[in-house]
Amino acid sequence: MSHPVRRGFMLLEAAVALVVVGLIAGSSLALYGAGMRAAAREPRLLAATALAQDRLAAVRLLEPEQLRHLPDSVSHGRFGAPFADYRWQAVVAHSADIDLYDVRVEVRWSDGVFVLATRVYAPAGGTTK
Amino acid sequence: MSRRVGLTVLELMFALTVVALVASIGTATLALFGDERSRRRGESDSMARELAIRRTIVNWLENAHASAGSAAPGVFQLVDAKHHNRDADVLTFTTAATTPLHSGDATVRLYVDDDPATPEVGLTAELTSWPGGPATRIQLDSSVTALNVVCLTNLLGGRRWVPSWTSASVVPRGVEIRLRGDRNDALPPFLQMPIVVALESGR
Repeated sequence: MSHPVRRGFMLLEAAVALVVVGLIAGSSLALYGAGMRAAAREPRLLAATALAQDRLAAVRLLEPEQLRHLPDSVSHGRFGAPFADYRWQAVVAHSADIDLYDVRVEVRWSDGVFVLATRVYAPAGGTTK
Repeated sequence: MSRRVGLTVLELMFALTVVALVASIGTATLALFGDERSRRRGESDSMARELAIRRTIVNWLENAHASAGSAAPGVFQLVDAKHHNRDADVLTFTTAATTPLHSGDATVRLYVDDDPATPEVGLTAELTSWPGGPATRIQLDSSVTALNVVCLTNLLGGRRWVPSWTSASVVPRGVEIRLRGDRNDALPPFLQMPIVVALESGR
């Protein structure tokens, strides 16, 4: 009776195997979840990019005087249907001696924000460009 | 009689069956998410298509030029028209942007095609390589039934949006394109939104 006869797996062995399986399943689920979240974000970002570009075009249509004092209709607002859950805000900063304007357009939705920033050249006084 | 120190295969199999049951419920739930994901993918595919149409029009217009200030001759013409009580404007301009013609400047005619004799339906771009050549028509979106375009200009004293434009030498300061479908919601979302373009060389 020196060795007991082993007829089954030890509980410990089975537990270790389950933990390994659990770890693998858990990490792959986390990966899957991250993929889902990214996929859910994509249409939001696509829409926000297009909306921000549209607002940027609206800013670029302004005259230099208007760039210094943005009209309310351009500085902030909410998009119309079917994009009613997106809001925008446009900020223009002017450096005094040159005719360059830093334009920053922010598009916000329930749980995110997209920022588009650029610099616009608009010579004052001169031509109406 | 031997002493049992481990689980029997039977017990293990039973445990595995329970795990497998739980796992299969889990994967069934995940499959639902998968359906959701493929629906979303379809959605963003059509979104990408609409955005590409917008970007293409914006790119062509941003590179529109007339003869003044440009080496190549050009034209910018907007005809304000109605057809069957719908806006049927026609916008024609010369662009230096890359077009499917790949050969330098191209003249783009943007209009709504409701002529049953042509294969194109809805918003259509007709491209002609400069100076003259065969016209290529590209159907941009078939659900568009009305096109309304206005131009922003400073030429007439103060900023004004005008419904028509004809010039071989000057392009407007900006262009706003509005597309309409049969019903309000007939158009894809990104085509319902007006397309606003600022033209660098415009007046």
